[in-house]
Amino acid sequence: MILRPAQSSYRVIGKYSGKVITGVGLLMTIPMVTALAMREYNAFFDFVIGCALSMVIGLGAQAFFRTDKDLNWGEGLVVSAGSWIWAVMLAAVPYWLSGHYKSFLDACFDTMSGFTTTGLLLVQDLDHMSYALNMWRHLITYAGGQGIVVIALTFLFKGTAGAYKMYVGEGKDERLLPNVIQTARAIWLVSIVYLGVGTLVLTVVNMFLGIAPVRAFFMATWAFMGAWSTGGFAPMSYNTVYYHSLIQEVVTIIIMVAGSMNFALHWAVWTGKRKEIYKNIEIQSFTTGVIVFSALAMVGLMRAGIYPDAMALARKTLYTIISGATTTGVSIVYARALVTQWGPIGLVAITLSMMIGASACSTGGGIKGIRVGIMFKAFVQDVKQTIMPENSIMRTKYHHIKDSDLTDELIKGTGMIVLLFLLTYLFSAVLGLLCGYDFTQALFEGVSAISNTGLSCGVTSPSMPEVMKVAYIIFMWVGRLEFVSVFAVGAHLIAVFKGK
Amino acid sequence: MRWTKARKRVVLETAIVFMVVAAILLVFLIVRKPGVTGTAWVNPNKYSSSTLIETPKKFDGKAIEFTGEAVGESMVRSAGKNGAKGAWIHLNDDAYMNHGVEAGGGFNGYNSGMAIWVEPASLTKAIEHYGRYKENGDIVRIAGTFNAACAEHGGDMDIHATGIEIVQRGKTITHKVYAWKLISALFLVILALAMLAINRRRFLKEQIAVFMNR
Amino acid sequence: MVPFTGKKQTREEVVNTQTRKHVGFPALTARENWGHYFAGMATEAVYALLLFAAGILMAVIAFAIYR
Repeated sequence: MILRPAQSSYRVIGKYSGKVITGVGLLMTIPMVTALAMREYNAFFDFVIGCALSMVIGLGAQAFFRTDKDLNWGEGLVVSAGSWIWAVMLAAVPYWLSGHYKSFLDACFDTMSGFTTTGLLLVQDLDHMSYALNMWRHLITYAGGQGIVVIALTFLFKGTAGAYKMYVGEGKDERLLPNVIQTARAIWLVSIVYLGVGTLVLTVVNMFLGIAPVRAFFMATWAFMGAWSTGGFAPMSYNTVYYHSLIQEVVTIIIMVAGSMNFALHWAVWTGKRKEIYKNIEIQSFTTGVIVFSALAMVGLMRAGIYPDAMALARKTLYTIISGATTTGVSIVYARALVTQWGPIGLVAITLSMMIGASACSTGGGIKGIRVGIMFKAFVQDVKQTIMPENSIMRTKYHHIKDSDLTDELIKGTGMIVLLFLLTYLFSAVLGLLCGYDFTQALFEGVSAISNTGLSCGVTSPSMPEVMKVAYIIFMWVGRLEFVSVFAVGAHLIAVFKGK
Repeated sequence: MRWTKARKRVVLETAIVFMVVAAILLVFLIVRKPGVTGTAWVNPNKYSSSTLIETPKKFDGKAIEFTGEAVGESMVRSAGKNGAKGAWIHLNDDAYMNHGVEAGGGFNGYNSGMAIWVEPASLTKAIEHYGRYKENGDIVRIAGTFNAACAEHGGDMDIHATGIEIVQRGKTITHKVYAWKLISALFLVILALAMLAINRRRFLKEQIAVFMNR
Repeated sequence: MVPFTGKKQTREEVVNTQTRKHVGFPALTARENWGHYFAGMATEAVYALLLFAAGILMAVIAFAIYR
């Protein structure tokens, strides 16, 4: 029997959603200040409008939905998944006001792409965009990589059990420290230290590459945010092709790889447990993936005879495959060149690396290394079982920060999510096919959206069918939240209408 | 009429709903009508950047002329083949080269262009305006060799230019602030402050509780 | 605070000094932790560089095989 949610449930959801919306409004103050500093007054007012609107709605919701109750699991999931919808629409207001978007839907596509750290874009005339709006685009990916919930948790929530439920609902479930507020703090510490060091290093690199200081600083901040959050936005339409620099590529590779690591892994390595960097199952799975898929891509590229020497081959292949494996989406080849130069083998290699994706509880997307590692170990265990005596019991362990048992329950849960991802990947490819695109390219682009990578082979464009835009927005959302909380929202809606 | 707590509550809630709806409606009203789709525009290049990217092997190593709007900046690097300093510029040959979105141009898809390696770097000093938010870049024509995967530059697709000429000077774009934007912003800020004010006691209590609970 | 004993702090000690206190940023940003933090960052950077180096090795092998 489906029970309709209680009245108090709506109030709790409303109040906490209001808090997250307020958080989005507060974030907008940063591009506002940027606009003033760079004397971009039109953009300044765009952001004042966006910020004020968010505050009115957010504060209004908090005041209207009065309750002192804490969130339960279902409500936590609904708030974390549901507030994404409001955040996406409100963040799209300054985009829409800037005039760089064909429609509000296009603007929402870009904000969803930003918050989910995907990196596909529909923005038109990016090369003439204001500093303020570029700051907002990249800030959204940085915030989205942290998790909108983690941000709200820092300033607007009491450290209650309900807050933890929201945190889990957004796809993170690692407890770095005993209390969820402390965990959010630790995550912030890692992110901000990297932000400081990374931006400094990139600013110096940019100036060395011949970019003027103020622009060097902004481009460094944005390049860092794009790489760390594994979002993949860049301030110029040329993406990372713009720099033509080995050192810039190496620095961004370091940032991308670090950004795609599980925060629990960061915390372990940062508090003395440095061996974790090679013992961890996700690192092992990630390394294997990068090496295997790079080899595959290199085979394709050598056959086509594209690159003239080993260094060029290494740089282009590694960068692109790591960009796919970490689900970042920065690119040092033009989007269409992935089709015209890399060809099918290269595209497939990148697609496979995107499908698997980054680490859990990180800024990355995809099926996640830990699930692939677990499924692999489960498979090996099953094969071993067939050659063992019938009544023997086998216990397999896997190492992720600490040693854990490979239980049937874990395998079942993991398998289900892996299956859901694979089915969604396939569905996206079929949808692209129905809209007239080539299957390999449609699969590439669909996987790119669902795994929140953002590498494009040319399918995404402002002239893409509207139904595909809507579908991709949903894919990006579902992929980021790893299905569970999105289903919770759906289940709640059904309960509202069909419950007794 | 006695102002019971319940009555006050109802008035407060009505006020909140009214303010939220007003704010949302206002934003809907002021959003600009979507820009007109750009008028048909002819690419000045015989072989546009899209053609080059679609069929790179066909043009690899061939001499080529390319015209586009200079965007970003010129990045002077020290390593040039002939010992001289070289510089990177990027020329966009998309519909925005004459009229960016910020300059009032209509929509025409993404930016598209080519990376150009210019040696000696001093040639790029001729370029005064680079396409940005506040500038329409100079339209520049270069002659050089196209590389599908340049051996000198880590496999990048680029054109090594032997000469550049300025076809048309760019200009600074003045952005005027629209009155409707200013007024709407003011109105929304007043609404936001009002929302804060009528609920100040409650919000203050909550924020203190949040920070105390650290 | 763990008194200075001349030894590097074990992980347990580092985490315990952070959680035993009533939390605020100061605990996490205590001076004795920063050495560990930067060492951790360096470890991660080294990992990424090793990955890149592996890629270069693979490319060299690829050229040796195909040419």
